[in-house]
Amino acid sequence: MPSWLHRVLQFSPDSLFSTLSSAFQTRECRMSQLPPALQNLLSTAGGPADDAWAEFAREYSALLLHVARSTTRGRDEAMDAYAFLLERLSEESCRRLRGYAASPNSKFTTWLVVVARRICIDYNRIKYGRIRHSDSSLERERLSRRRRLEDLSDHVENVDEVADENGTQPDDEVEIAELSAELRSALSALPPAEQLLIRLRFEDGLSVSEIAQTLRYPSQFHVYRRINAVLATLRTSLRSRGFESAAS
Amino acid sequence: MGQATRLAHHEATAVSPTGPLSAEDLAAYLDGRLTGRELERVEAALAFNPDARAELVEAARLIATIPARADAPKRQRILTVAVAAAAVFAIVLLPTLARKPARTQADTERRGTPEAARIQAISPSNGAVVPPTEAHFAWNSVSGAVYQLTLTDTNGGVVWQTTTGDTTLALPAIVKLEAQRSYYWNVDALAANGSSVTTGIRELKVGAK
Repeated sequence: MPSWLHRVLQFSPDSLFSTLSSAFQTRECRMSQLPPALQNLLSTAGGPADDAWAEFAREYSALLLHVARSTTRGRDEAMDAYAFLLERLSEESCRRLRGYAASPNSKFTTWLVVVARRICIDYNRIKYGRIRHSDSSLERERLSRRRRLEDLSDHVENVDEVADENGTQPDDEVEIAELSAELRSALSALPPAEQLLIRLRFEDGLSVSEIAQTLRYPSQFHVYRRINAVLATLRTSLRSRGFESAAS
Repeated sequence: MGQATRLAHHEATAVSPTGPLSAEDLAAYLDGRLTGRELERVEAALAFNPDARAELVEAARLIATIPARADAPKRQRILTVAVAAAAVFAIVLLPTLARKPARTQADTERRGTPEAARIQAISPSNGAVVPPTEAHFAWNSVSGAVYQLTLTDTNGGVVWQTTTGDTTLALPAIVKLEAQRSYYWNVDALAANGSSVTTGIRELKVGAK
């Protein structure tokens, strides 16, 4: 017997009523937290009414067009993506929007931006095929290694310069490989939040202001302070693994 | 729950630690709504997956640049009212407030920078009633901060005080709260830059046994 059925059978009528009313109140509470246009749209049983959908589209058209424009080139493309976006949001009686309403854990506009962007990327994939990431991945990796090495120590910078030249010495290659391995190991031992910060800065090459915006730091200064603290931890870790000059 | 809602809910929750993040997770992370293990799980997924990080960055950029709605006349009216209210405040109330004692150095340090002056307390909500044996505290994170939670009785006596690096705490069993009494709690965060921010004093009511 499924466990949920077992639990249902164990309910007395009173407890079942209590549970159902609690579930109903929770749903009511969630619905009351939704933006009015969304609440109105989803409150229609059996699918959204035309006027409720029109109100929703009007309310969020600026946001949806903003996302469509950011993921396409040219006005016509943006409008096509916008139409695709509305179609996807309304399909299956607004399945995606009902999914948000079932457990809202963020501001609706934040969620809508994330979902709308994903739908627009789907639109581009359908129209143009999957975007190849190989070039950007290579560039990211090249940037990653260079930035990581530049910032850790003078010793590492010297190795990096040698590594950029043709005809790298075998000893240098070994040293770079060892340092990279130790660095990866030290990085993976950091708490996730610190790993994320370091990877955004040194693997993805984000500016400090972009990181502050993305991770909601109060200012760029806070990002610098945090990065310096994490780099100090990494240096200490490398020192303990025998990379003395990297830690100097 | 209908089939469509169930499917959407499944999409929202079926996330492996190293797999793609759901839209719900990403949005909650962008809004700073995640705490504890959920936050760590999402941060780990973002640290692990460069494409997820790229999506995070792009979504944050889009959110920061969302244009104002096309209902400019209404906004213009709101702006006009706000300017008028500010003018009244400046003419009528400002001279009165200006006579109040200046903020002390300790106050300034305590408050930190204006944008970081508060941590948002998540639960219990202010004035919430909790069972005598069970109280869970949660607040939004401040990057790299260490938190001190202080629980006092109505006379200001410290009932419980502890320090943590997490953003949730459960009242330990050894701390007994009296039924049908009020307590006050606050969380102070010592941020990585040395500044201190606080949730402010919040009330907690203990229900009957």
